[in-house]
Amino acid sequence: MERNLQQVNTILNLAKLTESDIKKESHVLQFIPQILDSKQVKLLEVNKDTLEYIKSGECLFIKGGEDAHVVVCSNSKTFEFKEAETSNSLLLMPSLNHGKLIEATESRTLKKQEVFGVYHTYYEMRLTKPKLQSLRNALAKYPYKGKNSELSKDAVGLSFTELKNIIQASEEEIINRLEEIPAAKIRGKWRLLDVGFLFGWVSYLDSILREKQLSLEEVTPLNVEDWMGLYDIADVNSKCMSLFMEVDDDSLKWKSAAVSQLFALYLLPELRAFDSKDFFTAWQQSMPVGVTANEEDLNGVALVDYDSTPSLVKYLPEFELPEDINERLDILFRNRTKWTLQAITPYVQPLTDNNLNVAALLTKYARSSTINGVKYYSSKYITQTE
Amino acid sequence: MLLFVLICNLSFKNYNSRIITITYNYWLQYFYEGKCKSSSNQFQGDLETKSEEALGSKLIGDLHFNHEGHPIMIIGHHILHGKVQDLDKPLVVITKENDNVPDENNVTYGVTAVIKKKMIFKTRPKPIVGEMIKKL
Repeated sequence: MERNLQQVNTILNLAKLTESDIKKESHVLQFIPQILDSKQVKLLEVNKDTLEYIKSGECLFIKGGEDAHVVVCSNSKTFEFKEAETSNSLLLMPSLNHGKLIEATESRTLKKQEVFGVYHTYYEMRLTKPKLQSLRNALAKYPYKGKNSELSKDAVGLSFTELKNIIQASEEEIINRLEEIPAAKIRGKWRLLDVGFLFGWVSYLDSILREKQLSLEEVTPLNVEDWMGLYDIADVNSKCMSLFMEVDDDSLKWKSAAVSQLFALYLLPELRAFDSKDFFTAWQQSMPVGVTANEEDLNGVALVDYDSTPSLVKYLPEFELPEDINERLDILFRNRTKWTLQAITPYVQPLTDNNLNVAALLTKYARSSTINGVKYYSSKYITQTE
Repeated sequence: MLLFVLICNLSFKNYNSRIITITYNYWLQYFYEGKCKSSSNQFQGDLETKSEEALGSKLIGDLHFNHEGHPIMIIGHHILHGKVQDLDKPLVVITKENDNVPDENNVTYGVTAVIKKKMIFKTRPKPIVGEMIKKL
Protein backbone atom coordinates (compact mmCIF):
# COMPACT_ATOMS: atom_id res chain seq x y z
CA MET A 1 0.00 0.00 0.00
CA GLU A 2 2.95 2.29 -0.40
CA ARG A 3 2.28 5.48 -2.21
CA ASN A 4 4.92 6.82 -4.48
CA LEU A 5 5.91 10.27 -5.67
CA GLN A 6 4.10 9.92 -8.95
CA GLN A 7 0.77 9.23 -7.25
CA VAL A 8 1.32 12.08 -4.84
CA ASN A 9 2.24 14.49 -7.60
CA THR A 10 -0.77 13.46 -9.67
CA ILE A 11 -3.19 14.20 -6.87
CA LEU A 12 -1.36 17.44 -6.20
CA ASN A 13 -1.91 18.52 -9.79
CA LEU A 14 -5.56 17.58 -9.66
CA ALA A 15 -5.82 19.86 -6.71
CA LYS A 16 -4.64 22.63 -9.01
CA LEU A 17 -1.22 22.84 -7.42
CA THR A 18 2.17 22.32 -8.97
CA GLU A 19 5.40 21.13 -7.46
CA SER A 20 6.74 24.64 -7.59
CA ASP A 21 3.98 25.77 -5.23
CA ILE A 22 5.20 23.57 -2.46
CA LYS A 23 8.35 22.72 -0.62
CA LYS A 24 10.53 19.83 -1.68
CA GLU A 25 9.47 17.43 1.06
CA SER A 26 6.03 15.85 1.10
CA HIS A 27 4.62 13.41 3.58
CA VAL A 28 2.20 10.55 3.35
CA LEU A 29 0.18 10.28 6.53
CA GLN A 30 -0.68 6.78 7.60
CA PHE A 31 -2.09 5.29 10.75
CA ILE A 32 0.15 2.85 12.55
CA PRO A 33 -1.05 -0.77 12.39
CA GLN A 34 -2.38 -0.72 15.95
CA ILE A 35 -3.70 2.72 16.67
CA LEU A 36 -3.77 4.06 20.22
CA ASP A 37 -6.69 2.91 22.29
CA SER A 38 -8.32 5.82 24.06
CA LYS A 39 -8.89 3.57 27.06
CA GLN A 40 -5.15 3.19 27.47
CA VAL A 41 -3.75 6.45 26.22
CA LYS A 42 -5.34 9.79 26.98
CA LEU A 43 -4.71 13.46 26.42
CA LEU A 44 -4.47 15.84 29.36
CA GLU A 45 -4.38 19.58 28.93
CA VAL A 46 -2.06 21.27 31.41
CA ASN A 47 -0.94 24.81 32.03
CA LYS A 48 2.71 25.81 31.83
CA ASP A 49 3.29 25.55 35.60
CA THR A 50 1.83 22.09 35.71
CA LEU A 51 3.98 21.05 32.77
CA GLU A 52 7.12 22.17 34.62
CA TYR A 53 5.87 20.32 37.68
CA ILE A 54 5.42 17.15 35.62
CA LYS A 55 8.79 17.50 33.92
CA SER A 56 10.46 17.71 37.32
CA GLY A 57 9.16 14.22 38.00
CA GLU A 58 6.39 15.07 40.45
CA CYS A 59 3.12 13.20 40.41
CA LEU A 60 -0.48 14.21 40.07
CA PHE A 61 -3.21 12.51 42.05
CA ILE A 62 -6.73 11.92 40.80
CA LYS A 63 -9.23 11.84 43.63
CA GLY A 64 -12.84 10.94 43.12
CA GLY A 65 -15.38 12.01 45.66
CA GLU A 66 -19.12 12.16 45.80
CA ASP A 67 -21.13 12.13 42.63
CA ALA A 68 -19.21 13.06 39.56
CA HIS A 69 -16.93 15.43 41.35
CA VAL A 70 -13.33 14.56 40.56
CA VAL A 71 -10.22 16.56 41.33
CA VAL A 72 -6.62 16.16 40.40
CA CYS A 73 -3.99 17.38 42.83
CA SER A 74 -0.37 18.32 42.67
CA ASN A 75 1.57 18.54 45.91
CA SER A 76 0.19 21.99 46.62
CA LYS A 77 -2.77 22.69 44.33
CA THR A 78 -6.16 21.29 43.53
CA PHE A 79 -7.78 21.30 40.10
CA GLU A 80 -11.18 20.31 38.84
CA PHE A 81 -10.82 17.41 36.47
CA LYS A 82 -13.13 17.55 33.51
CA GLU A 83 -13.59 15.86 30.20
CA ALA A 84 -13.75 18.06 27.13
CA GLU A 85 -15.27 16.88 23.89
CA THR A 86 -14.44 18.38 20.57
CA SER A 87 -16.19 17.97 17.26
CA ASN A 88 -12.78 18.18 15.66
CA SER A 89 -10.66 15.13 15.04
CA LEU A 90 -7.34 15.31 16.78
CA LEU A 91 -4.68 13.29 15.01
CA LEU A 92 -1.73 12.47 17.12
CA MET A 93 1.66 12.24 15.49
CA PRO A 94 5.33 12.80 16.23
CA SER A 95 7.23 15.66 14.67
CA LEU A 96 7.83 15.51 10.98
CA ASN A 97 11.54 14.85 11.04
CA HIS A 98 10.79 11.35 12.33
CA GLY A 99 9.29 10.31 9.03
CA LYS A 100 10.66 7.39 7.08
CA LEU A 101 11.92 8.04 3.58
CA ILE A 102 9.88 6.44 0.84
CA GLU A 103 11.32 7.93 -2.30
CA ALA A 104 13.63 10.75 -3.29
CA THR A 105 14.38 12.41 -6.58
CA GLU A 106 16.52 15.38 -7.39
CA SER A 107 13.71 17.79 -6.81
CA ARG A 108 11.32 15.98 -4.50
CA THR A 109 11.31 13.81 -1.40
CA LEU A 110 8.51 11.65 -0.10
CA LYS A 111 8.36 10.50 3.50
CA LYS A 112 5.97 8.33 5.43
CA GLN A 113 4.61 9.98 8.53
CA GLU A 114 3.05 7.75 11.16
CA VAL A 115 -0.13 8.85 12.87
CA PHE A 116 -0.62 7.19 16.24
CA GLY A 117 -4.30 7.68 16.66
CA VAL A 118 -7.31 9.96 16.58
CA TYR A 119 -9.00 11.64 19.53
CA HIS A 120 -12.23 13.49 20.15
CA THR A 121 -11.85 14.02 23.86
CA TYR A 122 -9.19 15.33 26.15
CA TYR A 123 -9.10 16.20 29.83
CA GLU A 124 -8.90 19.63 31.35
CA MET A 125 -7.61 20.82 34.67
CA ARG A 126 -9.06 23.95 36.19
CA LEU A 127 -7.46 25.43 39.28
CA THR A 128 -9.92 25.44 42.13
CA LYS A 129 -10.20 25.97 45.84
CA PRO A 130 -10.67 22.61 47.49
CA LYS A 131 -13.69 21.98 49.65
CA LEU A 132 -12.00 21.35 52.95
CA GLN A 133 -14.97 21.20 55.24
CA SER A 134 -14.89 17.46 54.72
CA LEU A 135 -11.60 17.51 56.62
CA ARG A 136 -13.12 18.99 59.74
CA ASN A 137 -16.14 16.73 59.43
CA ALA A 138 -13.98 13.65 59.10
CA LEU A 139 -11.93 14.54 62.18
CA ALA A 140 -15.02 15.50 64.19
CA LYS A 141 -15.92 11.82 64.23
CA TYR A 142 -12.98 11.32 66.57
CA PRO A 143 -13.26 14.09 69.17
CA TYR A 144 -10.55 14.36 71.77
CA LYS A 145 -11.83 15.21 75.21
CA GLY A 146 -8.66 14.97 77.22
CA LYS A 147 -6.16 12.30 78.13
CA ASN A 148 -8.31 11.11 80.99
CA SER A 149 -11.39 10.77 78.84
CA GLU A 150 -9.92 8.37 76.35
CA LEU A 151 -12.19 5.37 75.98
CA SER A 152 -9.85 3.03 74.19
CA LYS A 153 -6.25 2.03 74.59
CA ASP A 154 -5.85 1.95 70.82
CA ALA A 155 -5.26 5.12 68.92
CA VAL A 156 -8.39 6.35 67.18
CA GLY A 157 -8.62 8.93 64.41
CA LEU A 158 -7.27 9.21 60.90
CA SER A 159 -3.68 8.95 59.81
CA PHE A 160 -2.32 11.57 57.47
CA THR A 161 -2.25 9.02 54.66
CA GLU A 162 -5.90 8.26 55.21
CA LEU A 163 -6.65 11.97 55.13
CA LYS A 164 -4.82 12.34 51.84
CA ASN A 165 -6.90 9.52 50.45
CA ILE A 166 -10.31 10.77 51.42
CA ILE A 167 -9.97 14.55 51.25
CA GLN A 168 -10.15 16.02 47.76
CA ALA A 169 -7.28 18.43 48.23
CA SER A 170 -3.51 18.57 47.85
CA GLU A 171 -1.17 17.58 50.63
CA GLU A 172 -0.09 21.15 51.27
CA GLU A 173 -3.66 22.43 51.40
CA ILE A 174 -4.58 19.70 53.88
CA ILE A 175 -1.60 20.50 56.09
CA ASN A 176 -2.46 24.21 56.09
CA ARG A 177 -6.04 23.53 57.05
CA LEU A 178 -4.96 21.17 59.85
CA GLU A 179 -3.00 24.04 61.33
CA GLU A 180 -5.97 26.40 61.20
CA ILE A 181 -8.58 24.16 62.78
CA PRO A 182 -8.43 22.74 66.31
CA ALA A 183 -6.99 19.46 65.09
CA ALA A 184 -4.18 17.57 66.75
CA LYS A 185 -2.22 14.41 66.12
CA ILE A 186 -2.56 12.08 69.04
CA ARG A 187 -0.67 8.81 69.01
CA GLY A 188 -0.13 9.15 65.28
CA LYS A 189 -3.73 9.84 64.36
CA TRP A 190 -5.47 13.10 63.65
CA ARG A 191 -8.51 14.13 65.66
CA LEU A 192 -10.56 17.21 66.41
CA LEU A 193 -10.14 18.77 69.84
CA ASP A 194 -13.52 18.93 71.52
CA VAL A 195 -14.90 22.40 72.32
CA GLY A 196 -15.58 21.43 75.92
CA PHE A 197 -12.03 20.22 76.28
CA LEU A 198 -10.62 23.46 74.84
CA PHE A 199 -12.82 25.52 77.15
CA GLY A 200 -11.51 23.50 80.07
CA TRP A 201 -7.93 23.95 78.95
CA VAL A 202 -8.15 27.74 78.74
CA SER A 203 -10.13 27.98 81.98
CA TYR A 204 -7.63 25.79 83.81
CA LEU A 205 -4.73 27.97 82.72
CA ASP A 206 -6.70 31.05 83.66
CA SER A 207 -7.37 29.65 87.13
CA ILE A 208 -3.66 29.00 87.67
CA LEU A 209 -2.86 32.56 86.63
CA ARG A 210 -5.51 33.97 88.96
CA GLU A 211 -4.15 31.89 91.82
CA LYS A 212 -0.64 33.15 91.22
CA GLN A 213 -2.00 36.64 90.60
CA LEU A 214 -0.17 36.81 87.32
CA SER A 215 -1.30 37.91 83.88
CA LEU A 216 -0.44 35.89 80.82
CA GLU A 217 1.98 38.62 79.70
CA GLU A 218 4.02 38.01 82.81
CA VAL A 219 4.73 34.36 82.13
CA THR A 220 6.75 32.51 79.52
CA PRO A 221 5.82 29.71 77.11
CA LEU A 222 7.93 27.37 79.20
CA ASN A 223 5.85 28.18 82.29
CA VAL A 224 2.69 27.34 80.40
CA GLU A 225 4.13 24.09 79.07
CA ASP A 226 5.14 23.07 82.58
CA TRP A 227 1.82 23.89 84.20
CA MET A 228 -0.29 22.38 81.44
CA GLY A 229 1.93 19.30 81.32
CA LEU A 230 -0.18 18.03 84.19
CA TYR A 231 -3.39 18.77 82.34
CA ASP A 232 -2.71 17.01 79.06
CA ILE A 233 -0.05 15.74 76.66
CA ALA A 234 2.59 18.00 75.14
CA ASP A 235 1.33 17.94 71.52
CA VAL A 236 -2.15 18.90 72.60
CA ASN A 237 -0.89 21.67 74.84
CA SER A 238 1.24 23.18 72.12
CA LYS A 239 -1.71 23.10 69.71
CA CYS A 240 -3.87 24.89 72.26
CA MET A 241 -1.18 27.49 72.74
CA SER A 242 -1.01 28.11 69.01
CA LEU A 243 -4.80 28.41 68.81
CA PHE A 244 -5.33 30.82 71.68
CA MET A 245 -2.10 32.69 72.26
CA GLU A 246 0.25 34.91 70.36
CA VAL A 247 3.79 33.86 71.07
CA ASP A 248 6.37 36.55 70.43
CA ASP A 249 9.86 35.41 71.43
CA ASP A 250 9.27 34.64 75.04
CA SER A 251 6.20 36.74 75.64
CA LEU A 252 2.60 35.61 75.53
CA LYS A 253 -0.69 37.28 74.87
CA TRP A 254 -4.20 35.89 74.60
CA LYS A 255 -5.72 35.89 71.11
CA SER A 256 -8.77 37.78 72.20
CA ALA A 257 -11.02 36.94 69.27
CA ALA A 258 -10.12 33.24 69.31
CA VAL A 259 -10.79 32.92 73.03
CA SER A 260 -14.06 34.85 72.83
CA GLN A 261 -15.24 32.67 69.97
CA LEU A 262 -14.26 29.51 71.80
CA PHE A 263 -16.28 30.54 74.84
CA ALA A 264 -19.27 31.47 72.69
CA LEU A 265 -19.05 28.09 70.94
CA TYR A 266 -19.03 26.44 74.35
CA LEU A 267 -21.88 28.38 75.91
CA LEU A 268 -24.32 28.55 73.03
CA PRO A 269 -25.09 25.08 71.74
CA GLU A 270 -26.91 23.98 74.87
CA LEU A 271 -29.68 26.42 74.21
CA ARG A 272 -29.62 27.16 70.51
CA ALA A 273 -31.01 30.64 71.08
CA PHE A 274 -29.93 32.49 74.14
CA ASP A 275 -31.54 35.52 75.66
CA SER A 276 -28.90 38.00 74.58
CA LYS A 277 -28.68 39.85 77.91
CA ASP A 278 -28.07 36.59 79.77
CA PHE A 279 -25.64 35.46 77.16
CA PHE A 280 -23.51 38.59 77.15
CA THR A 281 -23.31 38.53 80.92
CA ALA A 282 -22.32 34.88 81.13
CA TRP A 283 -19.96 35.29 78.24
CA GLN A 284 -18.02 38.19 79.69
CA GLN A 285 -17.91 36.70 83.16
CA SER A 286 -16.36 33.49 81.94
CA MET A 287 -13.55 35.24 80.07
CA PRO A 288 -10.00 34.73 81.28
CA VAL A 289 -8.31 37.68 82.92
CA GLY A 290 -7.16 40.12 80.31
CA VAL A 291 -9.64 39.14 77.60
CA THR A 292 -12.60 41.32 76.75
CA ALA A 293 -15.49 39.87 74.84
CA ASN A 294 -16.67 41.98 71.92
CA GLU A 295 -19.87 41.46 70.05
CA GLU A 296 -17.82 41.53 66.84
CA ASP A 297 -16.12 38.34 67.92
CA LEU A 298 -19.42 36.57 67.40
CA ASN A 299 -19.12 37.13 63.66
CA GLY A 300 -18.96 33.72 62.07
CA VAL A 301 -20.10 32.00 65.29
CA ALA A 302 -23.48 33.40 66.29
CA LEU A 303 -26.13 35.89 65.28
CA VAL A 304 -27.58 38.53 67.51
CA ASP A 305 -31.20 39.08 66.60
CA TYR A 306 -32.38 42.42 67.89
CA ASP A 307 -35.71 42.25 66.09
CA SER A 308 -37.18 39.65 68.40
CA THR A 309 -38.30 40.34 71.97
CA PRO A 310 -36.33 39.59 74.01
CA SER A 311 -33.36 39.84 71.65
CA LEU A 312 -31.70 36.52 71.06
CA VAL A 313 -28.30 35.14 70.31
CA LYS A 314 -28.45 32.25 67.85
CA TYR A 315 -25.77 29.62 67.47
CA LEU A 316 -24.61 29.65 63.84
CA PRO A 317 -21.00 28.60 63.37
CA GLU A 318 -19.49 29.00 59.90
CA PHE A 319 -18.02 25.53 59.86
CA GLU A 320 -21.43 23.90 60.11
CA LEU A 321 -22.78 25.57 57.00
CA PRO A 322 -22.82 23.95 53.56
CA GLU A 323 -19.95 24.72 51.21
CA ASP A 324 -22.18 25.46 48.23
CA ILE A 325 -22.70 29.20 47.96
CA ASN A 326 -26.41 29.07 47.22
CA GLU A 327 -27.14 26.61 50.01
CA ARG A 328 -25.12 28.63 52.45
CA LEU A 329 -26.73 31.96 51.54
CA ASP A 330 -30.14 30.34 51.79
CA ILE A 331 -29.51 29.39 55.42
CA LEU A 332 -27.97 32.76 56.22
CA PHE A 333 -30.90 34.71 54.82
CA ARG A 334 -33.41 32.51 56.57
CA ASN A 335 -31.72 33.33 59.85
CA ARG A 336 -31.52 37.02 59.15
CA THR A 337 -33.08 38.76 56.20
CA LYS A 338 -30.66 41.64 55.85
CA TRP A 339 -26.94 41.53 56.47
CA THR A 340 -24.24 44.14 56.54
CA LEU A 341 -21.03 43.31 54.73
CA GLN A 342 -19.14 43.13 57.99
CA ALA A 343 -21.51 40.62 59.53
CA ILE A 344 -21.78 38.35 56.49
CA THR A 345 -18.10 38.36 55.50
CA PRO A 346 -16.91 35.65 57.93
CA TYR A 347 -19.59 33.33 56.52
CA VAL A 348 -18.81 34.06 52.88
CA GLN A 349 -15.03 34.48 53.04
CA PRO A 350 -14.27 30.74 53.10
CA LEU A 351 -16.07 30.31 49.78
CA THR A 352 -14.04 32.87 47.88
CA ASP A 353 -11.38 31.92 45.39
CA ASN A 354 -8.96 33.62 43.02
CA ASN A 355 -11.72 34.91 40.81
CA LEU A 356 -14.38 36.05 43.22
CA ASN A 357 -13.92 37.91 46.47
CA VAL A 358 -16.66 38.45 49.07
CA ALA A 359 -18.15 41.51 47.40
CA ALA A 360 -18.13 39.85 43.99
CA LEU A 361 -19.76 36.68 45.33
CA LEU A 362 -22.48 38.69 47.01
CA THR A 363 -23.09 40.75 43.89
CA LYS A 364 -23.51 37.55 41.95
CA TYR A 365 -25.59 35.48 44.35
CA ALA A 366 -27.45 37.98 46.51
CA ARG A 367 -29.34 41.20 46.23
CA SER A 368 -28.17 44.46 47.77
CA SER A 369 -30.08 47.49 49.00
CA THR A 370 -29.18 50.68 50.80
CA ILE A 371 -31.12 51.87 53.85
CA ASN A 372 -30.18 55.09 55.60
CA GLY A 373 -26.87 55.08 53.81
CA VAL A 374 -25.98 51.56 54.92
CA LYS A 375 -25.61 48.76 52.40
CA TYR A 376 -27.40 45.51 53.18
CA TYR A 377 -27.42 42.17 51.44
CA SER A 378 -30.48 40.00 51.20
CA SER A 379 -31.70 36.98 49.32
CA LYS A 380 -32.11 37.10 45.59
CA TYR A 381 -35.01 34.69 45.78
CA ILE A 382 -37.03 35.22 48.93
CA THR A 383 -39.06 38.38 48.56
CA GLN A 384 -39.51 40.43 51.69
CA THR A 385 -42.42 42.68 52.37
CA GLU A 386 -41.25 45.51 54.54
CA MET B 1 -15.57 21.04 10.18
CA LEU B 2 -12.14 21.57 11.49
CA LEU B 3 -9.54 18.91 11.39
CA PHE B 4 -6.75 19.31 13.85
CA VAL B 5 -3.49 17.57 13.48
CA LEU B 6 -1.38 17.48 16.58
CA ILE B 7 2.34 17.22 16.57
CA CYS B 8 4.25 15.87 19.50
CA ASN B 9 7.50 17.70 19.82
CA LEU B 10 9.34 14.48 20.51
CA SER B 11 8.74 10.84 20.00
CA PHE B 12 7.36 9.02 22.99
CA LYS B 13 9.64 9.32 25.98
CA ASN B 14 9.45 8.18 29.55
CA TYR B 15 8.85 10.93 32.02
CA ASN B 16 9.09 10.07 35.69
CA SER B 17 5.86 11.78 36.51
CA ARG B 18 2.85 9.63 37.19
CA ILE B 19 -0.87 10.30 37.32
CA ILE B 20 -2.11 8.20 40.20
CA THR B 21 -5.66 7.49 41.22
CA ILE B 22 -6.26 7.60 44.92
CA THR B 23 -9.98 7.41 45.38
CA TYR B 24 -12.51 6.15 42.99
CA ASN B 25 -16.03 7.05 41.98
CA TYR B 26 -18.37 6.08 39.22
CA TRP B 27 -17.29 8.92 36.98
CA LEU B 28 -13.78 7.63 37.03
CA GLN B 29 -15.07 4.35 35.75
CA TYR B 30 -16.01 6.08 32.50
CA PHE B 31 -12.61 7.65 32.40
CA TYR B 32 -10.81 4.35 32.75
CA GLU B 33 -13.03 2.40 30.44
CA GLY B 34 -13.15 5.10 27.84
CA LYS B 35 -16.52 6.44 26.88
CA CYS B 36 -18.09 4.13 24.35
CA LYS B 37 -18.49 6.20 21.25
CA SER B 38 -20.12 4.94 18.13
CA SER B 39 -17.19 6.51 16.43
CA SER B 40 -17.60 7.39 12.84
CA ASN B 41 -14.49 9.39 12.33
CA GLN B 42 -15.51 12.21 10.13
CA PHE B 43 -12.84 12.03 7.50
CA GLN B 44 -14.53 12.93 4.33
CA GLY B 45 -14.28 10.51 1.53
CA ASP B 46 -12.28 7.35 1.65
CA LEU B 47 -11.69 7.09 5.33
CA GLU B 48 -15.18 6.92 6.72
CA THR B 49 -15.20 3.95 8.98
CA LYS B 50 -17.28 2.53 11.75
CA SER B 51 -14.76 1.68 14.38
CA GLU B 52 -11.39 2.90 15.52
CA GLU B 53 -9.78 -0.51 15.15
CA ALA B 54 -10.37 -0.48 11.39
CA LEU B 55 -8.18 2.60 11.04
CA GLY B 56 -5.00 0.63 11.61
CA SER B 57 -2.52 1.04 8.76
CA LYS B 58 -5.01 3.12 6.78
CA LEU B 59 -3.64 5.86 4.61
CA ILE B 60 -4.97 9.24 5.57
CA GLY B 61 -3.69 11.61 2.95
CA ASP B 62 -0.79 13.66 1.73
CA LEU B 63 0.80 16.50 3.60
CA HIS B 64 2.66 19.30 1.83
CA PHE B 65 3.99 22.68 2.86
CA ASN B 66 3.86 25.82 0.78
CA HIS B 67 6.74 28.23 0.65
CA GLU B 68 5.34 30.28 3.51
CA GLY B 69 5.54 27.21 5.64
CA HIS B 70 1.78 26.64 5.79
CA PRO B 71 0.68 23.01 5.63
CA ILE B 72 -1.62 21.71 2.92
CA MET B 73 -3.37 18.37 3.32
CA ILE B 74 -5.07 16.36 0.63
CA ILE B 75 -7.49 13.80 2.00
CA GLY B 76 -9.72 11.98 -0.41
CA HIS B 77 -11.53 14.57 -2.47
CA HIS B 78 -10.62 17.45 -0.24
CA ILE B 79 -7.85 19.92 -0.03
CA LEU B 80 -7.30 21.42 3.38
CA HIS B 81 -5.28 24.53 4.04
CA GLY B 82 -3.79 24.88 7.47
CA LYS B 83 -1.55 26.72 9.86
CA VAL B 84 1.03 25.65 12.36
CA GLN B 85 0.23 27.06 15.78
CA ASP B 86 1.40 26.69 19.33
CA LEU B 87 -1.17 25.14 21.60
CA ASP B 88 -2.60 27.64 24.11
CA LYS B 89 -1.98 25.03 26.76
CA PRO B 90 0.26 22.03 26.22
CA LEU B 91 -1.27 18.59 26.00
CA VAL B 92 0.30 15.72 27.80
CA VAL B 93 -0.10 12.15 26.61
CA ILE B 94 -0.70 9.74 29.49
CA THR B 95 -0.54 5.98 29.17
CA LYS B 96 -2.15 3.50 31.51
CA GLU B 97 0.18 1.29 33.46
CA ASN B 98 -0.20 -1.94 35.42
CA ASP B 99 -2.91 -3.13 33.15
CA ASN B 100 -3.14 -6.54 34.70
CA VAL B 101 -4.06 -5.23 38.10
CA PRO B 102 -7.85 -5.42 38.42
CA ASP B 103 -7.84 -3.12 41.44
CA GLU B 104 -9.67 -0.05 40.24
CA ASN B 105 -8.34 2.07 43.06
CA ASN B 106 -4.81 1.66 41.88
CA VAL B 107 -4.89 2.95 38.33
CA THR B 108 -1.76 4.78 37.36
CA TYR B 109 -0.86 6.62 34.18
CA GLY B 110 2.63 7.46 33.06
CA VAL B 111 3.37 10.65 31.22
CA THR B 112 4.75 9.62 27.87
CA ALA B 113 4.81 12.69 25.65
CA VAL B 114 4.23 16.40 25.55
CA ILE B 115 2.47 18.18 22.70
CA LYS B 116 3.12 21.86 22.20
CA LYS B 117 2.17 22.52 18.60
CA LYS B 118 -0.72 21.77 16.34
CA MET B 119 -1.48 22.04 12.69
CA ILE B 120 -5.03 23.17 12.26
CA PHE B 121 -6.94 22.66 9.03
CA LYS B 122 -10.27 23.70 7.67
CA THR B 123 -11.99 21.79 4.95
CA ARG B 124 -12.63 23.23 1.58
CA PRO B 125 -14.24 20.95 -0.92
CA LYS B 126 -12.46 20.45 -4.17
CA PRO B 127 -13.81 18.22 -6.83
CA ILE B 128 -11.60 15.66 -8.44
CA VAL B 129 -12.93 16.14 -11.94
CA GLY B 130 -9.83 15.68 -14.03
CA GLU B 131 -9.35 12.04 -13.14
CA MET B 132 -12.87 11.08 -14.05
CA ILE B 133 -12.62 12.77 -17.40
CA LYS B 134 -9.38 10.91 -18.06
CA LYS B 135 -11.08 7.59 -17.49
CA LEU B 136 -13.73 8.18 -20.07
